[in-house]
Amino acid sequence: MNTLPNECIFEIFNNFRTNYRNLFSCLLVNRLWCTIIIPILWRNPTVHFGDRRLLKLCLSTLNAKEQALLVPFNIILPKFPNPLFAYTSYATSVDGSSLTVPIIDWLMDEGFINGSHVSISADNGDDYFPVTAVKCSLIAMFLRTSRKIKGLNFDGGISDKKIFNHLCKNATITSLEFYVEQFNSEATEILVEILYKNSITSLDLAHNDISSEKWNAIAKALHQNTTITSVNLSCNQLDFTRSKALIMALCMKPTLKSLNLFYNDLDARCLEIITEALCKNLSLTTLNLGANPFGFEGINALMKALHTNTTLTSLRLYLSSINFDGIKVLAEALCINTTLTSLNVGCNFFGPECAELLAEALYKNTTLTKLDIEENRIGSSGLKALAKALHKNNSLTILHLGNNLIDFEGGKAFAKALCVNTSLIDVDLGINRLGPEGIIALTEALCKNTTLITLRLYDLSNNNLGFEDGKALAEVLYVNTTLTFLDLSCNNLGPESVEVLAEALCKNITLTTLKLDANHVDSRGVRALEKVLYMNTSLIYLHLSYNEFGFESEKALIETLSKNNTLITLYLYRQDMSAEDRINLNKILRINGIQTSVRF
Amino acid sequence: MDNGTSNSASENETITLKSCDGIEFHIDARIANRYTLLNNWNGGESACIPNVNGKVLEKVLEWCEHHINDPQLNCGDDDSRRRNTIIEEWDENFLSCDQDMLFEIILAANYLEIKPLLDLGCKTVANMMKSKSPEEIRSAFNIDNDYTPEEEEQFRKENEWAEDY
Repeated sequence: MNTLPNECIFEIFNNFRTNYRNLFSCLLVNRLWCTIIIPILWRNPTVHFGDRRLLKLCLSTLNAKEQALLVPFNIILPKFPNPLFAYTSYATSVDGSSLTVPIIDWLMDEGFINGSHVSISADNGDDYFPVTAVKCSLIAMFLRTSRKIKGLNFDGGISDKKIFNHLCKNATITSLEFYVEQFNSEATEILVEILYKNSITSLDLAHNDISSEKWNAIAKALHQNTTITSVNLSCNQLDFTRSKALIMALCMKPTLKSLNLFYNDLDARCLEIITEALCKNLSLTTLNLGANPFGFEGINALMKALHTNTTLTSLRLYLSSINFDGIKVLAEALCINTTLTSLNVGCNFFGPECAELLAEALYKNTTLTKLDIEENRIGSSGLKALAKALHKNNSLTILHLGNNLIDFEGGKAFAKALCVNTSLIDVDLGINRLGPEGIIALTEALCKNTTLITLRLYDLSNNNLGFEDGKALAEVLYVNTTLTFLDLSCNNLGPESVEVLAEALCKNITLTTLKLDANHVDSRGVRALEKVLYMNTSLIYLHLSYNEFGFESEKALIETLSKNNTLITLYLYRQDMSAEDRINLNKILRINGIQTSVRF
Repeated sequence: MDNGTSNSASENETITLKSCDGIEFHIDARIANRYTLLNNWNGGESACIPNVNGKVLEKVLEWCEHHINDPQLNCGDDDSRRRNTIIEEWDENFLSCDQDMLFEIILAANYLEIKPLLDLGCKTVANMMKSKSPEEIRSAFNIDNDYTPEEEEQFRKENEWAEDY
């Protein structure tokens, strides 16, 4: 071991990068290992701030200036011993949002704030000022001490400009999430400065409330910036007046690849600017315009642009009130455009006739690979038209049809298509009314189909699935050798069905993810699943949350994990888990040296 | 067949490699094509590999030969690497040699830039450390503890949060 160079020793420990318990043991072996392990262990410290010891250690790293932020709130830090290592200098990302709860807990336990303060501020949906102050001081400290930070997610109010002075100096940050409670002129100045100076490639300004004048300043900075490739401006109440300069600046950027404008107030005039840019074919590949009131005029202009555009590959028009006329121009564009590969027109409630228009387009279009039309009330008649097109279309690989009032007739038509189609790899049919008849037809098709990899059949709880359906689903697991992801959550399958499924899983060697959350699995079902953990060698993720078994069954499942070498994560969330159960389950994990990550 | 190599070589072509202690190996040219460093030396009919002795080079080449038809993984792809936490039976047997040889193989794989073998070797060593206490690890790998007791205690305190994740 002593002959290996440090880079090889690093590679050895990097195998433990998500297994902190092993890293901790190795760190205590000798000094050399410690220096190699600390940079791995301290990559994302803020994610683990739920641990008080870690929070305190980071507080001990605050310098006098950072501590001064806490003085107005009478927060005086106890004397901490100096850490042996500059731990925080190895942080590569800082997640401000994960700091809030741990800071509140610490401030309350130390008596700096009391519960009534917190509940008042929580009602307003804002961080309480002392909490923000601590958060700012910690972020400022991370920015001062680490030169490795690539991503910063900052949420909460700005209490001091110091943080941002550090931020402006810190040239390594490429990804910035910036949410500020009151987007005042100071915040704007700072953001503008960052955009001028830094090498930001990804900017996320979602959920801010920014005035027109400030947007114009940001637009000016964005116009100068030459590094930006991805911008998220969702949920910003952007209307034509506020966004005109901004959208113009962004759309003309030859570097911009991705633009998210979801849930704003953009009308047809805004879309005109965007479509003009699309006609010039700059670099935009991903565009999200969902939940904006651009109306038929907007969609018509956008679709016309798609006739000639050759850069856009992904378009999201979720929740956009697109009606028959809108879908008609969209379907026409799909017959001509040969660049778009992913389209989301979910939640437009457009009904079966529109599904028929889309089906017609799918006969001609050969480039679209992903189509999401969930929540559109297409019904069985809509799906029948789509299914017929899928006999011919051989390019669509992902089709999401959740929550569409589809009953057994639609299910049967789709099953027929699955027997013929050889391109679909991912299908979502959740929250429909397929009924036992639809399910049986689908399972029969899955015994023949050899291309589908992912199937989502969650929440068919209104379908009264019984033992026969359980058996049919189990049959698929015996015969099918391509399906790797199966979501059967929220289906009230019941213990007998779980037993037959478990039996099949002991033989199946392809499924890697199974979701059986909320299926009334009881201790009897768990016994069957224990056998699966002994026998099965393909499952990587197993979801068993929100079922009807308690601590004893959880304990048995976890103990069985010592015999399983493949499962990476087991999900066992339940609402009524006590702190004591949690501690005991953690103990069992430790005693048995379980490598699988168990979430509860 | 395309093995993912950019440089194609037919199955019958062979190259001679010479270890630092002068032992010669005649290998399938496709192996040399697959790995950058071996490929760089592939100027003439034979190439000398300094730093790697015959015993170790024999093992390394045995591994390369067995994996000649493996698809080439994108090493930066974290997910594909994580999925491979399980070591195949053949590889497990291949690496169940004595510790010195295991470290020699890792050293050679690192030197010759054979990333999958380096990963495999490192994973094997990591598995030997799994769920062991610091003292158990020290005795398993014959490592001296150079911490002072106070230092060790402080490092334990400052990092013990990690024990619960």
